[in-house]
Amino acid sequence: MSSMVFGRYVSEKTFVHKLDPRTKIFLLILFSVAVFLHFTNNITSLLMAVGYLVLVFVLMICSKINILELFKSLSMMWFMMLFLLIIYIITPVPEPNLPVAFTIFGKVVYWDVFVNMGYIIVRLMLLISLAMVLTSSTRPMDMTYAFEWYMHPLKVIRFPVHEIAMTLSIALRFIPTLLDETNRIMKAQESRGADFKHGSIFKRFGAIISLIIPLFVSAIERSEQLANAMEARGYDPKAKRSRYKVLKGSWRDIVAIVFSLLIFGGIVFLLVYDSHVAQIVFF
Amino acid sequence: MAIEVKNVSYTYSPKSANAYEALTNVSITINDGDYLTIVGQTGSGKSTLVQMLNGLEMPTLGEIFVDGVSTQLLCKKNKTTKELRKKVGLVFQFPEYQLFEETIVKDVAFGLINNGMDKEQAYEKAKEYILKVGLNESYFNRSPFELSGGERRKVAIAGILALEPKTLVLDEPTAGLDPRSKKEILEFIKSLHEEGRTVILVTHNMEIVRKYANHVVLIDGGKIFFDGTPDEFFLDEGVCKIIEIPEVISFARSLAKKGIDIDINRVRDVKTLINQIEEWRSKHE
Repeated sequence: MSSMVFGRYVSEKTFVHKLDPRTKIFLLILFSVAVFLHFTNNITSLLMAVGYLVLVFVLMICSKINILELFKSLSMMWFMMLFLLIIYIITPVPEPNLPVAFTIFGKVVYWDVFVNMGYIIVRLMLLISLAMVLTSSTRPMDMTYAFEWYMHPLKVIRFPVHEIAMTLSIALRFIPTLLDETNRIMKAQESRGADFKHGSIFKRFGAIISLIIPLFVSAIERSEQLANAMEARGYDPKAKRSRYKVLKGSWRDIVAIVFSLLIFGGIVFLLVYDSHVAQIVFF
Repeated sequence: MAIEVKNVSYTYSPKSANAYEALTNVSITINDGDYLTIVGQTGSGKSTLVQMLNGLEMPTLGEIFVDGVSTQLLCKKNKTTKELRKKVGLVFQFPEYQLFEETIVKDVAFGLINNGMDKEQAYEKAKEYILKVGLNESYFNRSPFELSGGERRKVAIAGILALEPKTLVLDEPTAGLDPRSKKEILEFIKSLHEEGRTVILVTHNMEIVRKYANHVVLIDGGKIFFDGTPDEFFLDEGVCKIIEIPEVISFARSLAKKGIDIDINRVRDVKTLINQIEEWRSKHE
């Protein structure tokens, strides 16, 4: 079951794995912005999309991530594609003199609809693969440390940064445990004749209830035990604490940031050069 | 023969980087009416083996025959999976965590209703089995979540028993129970065995092997290390190195080595050992 989890951390010793999680989160945000920059010229957009894809694939190969997994995740996106298509068809087009593809139920469908949808799909794919690079090369715990570091300034306005980071890390810590538990309970109920895969929706619903209730009960029991254990060891969220693992940047981070900023700068330059008027659209 | 495990291997997440072979070329023949105990260290593959017996897992290699029919063949169609589950009932480790209904009767009846039994009939049968595991009428309409650990486990076992499987498989049914509940459950399983059911029990407890079983399999590192009767089991030199045998037995063995005439096969507990020592003494006086 755990092997099915998308973007699960895989221990490797690549350059990307060795980067500081803070750097990786920063770069993820930087490139997400870059992916959504909008070029007015269609040909430039196309070339850029290809460029991004090549870049991301190289990145994925460098960090030893299974690209097949990415395509598996895309197969789950078909419902969203359909939804997008419908929305694009329904929304009125500002310029009525675009090339028309066909007419359906008296509604004119423009080629532009498919082009726009294609862009969104490509962009989402890029975002997903970037996020996948982050999650499969960074330990979840390191990620929460990085989040905590980024949220640090919020402490000024008494935002409970540490508490949230703690909650987050506990939640992440228990995902595999709960997955195992789910697997176990599922098997136990299956040996009592519950069927999660076949039968009518009504029957399957009954089977799922038999899974969810024990899962909740055990999760609540677990959280109670954990809370007691933490209190027994004198845990105080407000106390000043030291860290077992201290985040430290290295030359790798500098190289990665400089390299990425150069690429980003190039993209921005191209954007301005391409249209003179930078039209930035965030979806 | 009831169940035949033939050259079975099982690999977790095959083809991936962290593929792990839990069982390697395991063959066991389990006869009708056997009381089989499967022993072995944690992680030796016992639970995996047991889950394959009722088709929850399929062997990567090899085959398992239940009443002469391969489990793979039985599980091809959904309906026959249920047939298999009816033949081989599996009680998981810590089964108390699988309870979910509002009342105990409903929970025990869950499996019956899943197998297509009428609701009223299922409740009647559930009540019958709740009484059978040693809980009284006052429990019928209580919530399973307000019971003690031992009681919950009894309810969970009743849930499987109500399906009336010919073969009952239990994965460490006594783990973490107090001595009294432990004894009650074991005596109850014994009575089921005497009714003619085949019992397969995974355990770490050698007392259970000594007292109840007529067939022992020791699994070590995914392979069968020993397959035979408990008498042979406790005499086997290799077994002692892997498993901690009961003190009575090791004591009897050391006595035998010192030249005192003791038939280890007849040593069940402290009492039978004392009887033998007395026999020996009366002979030598």
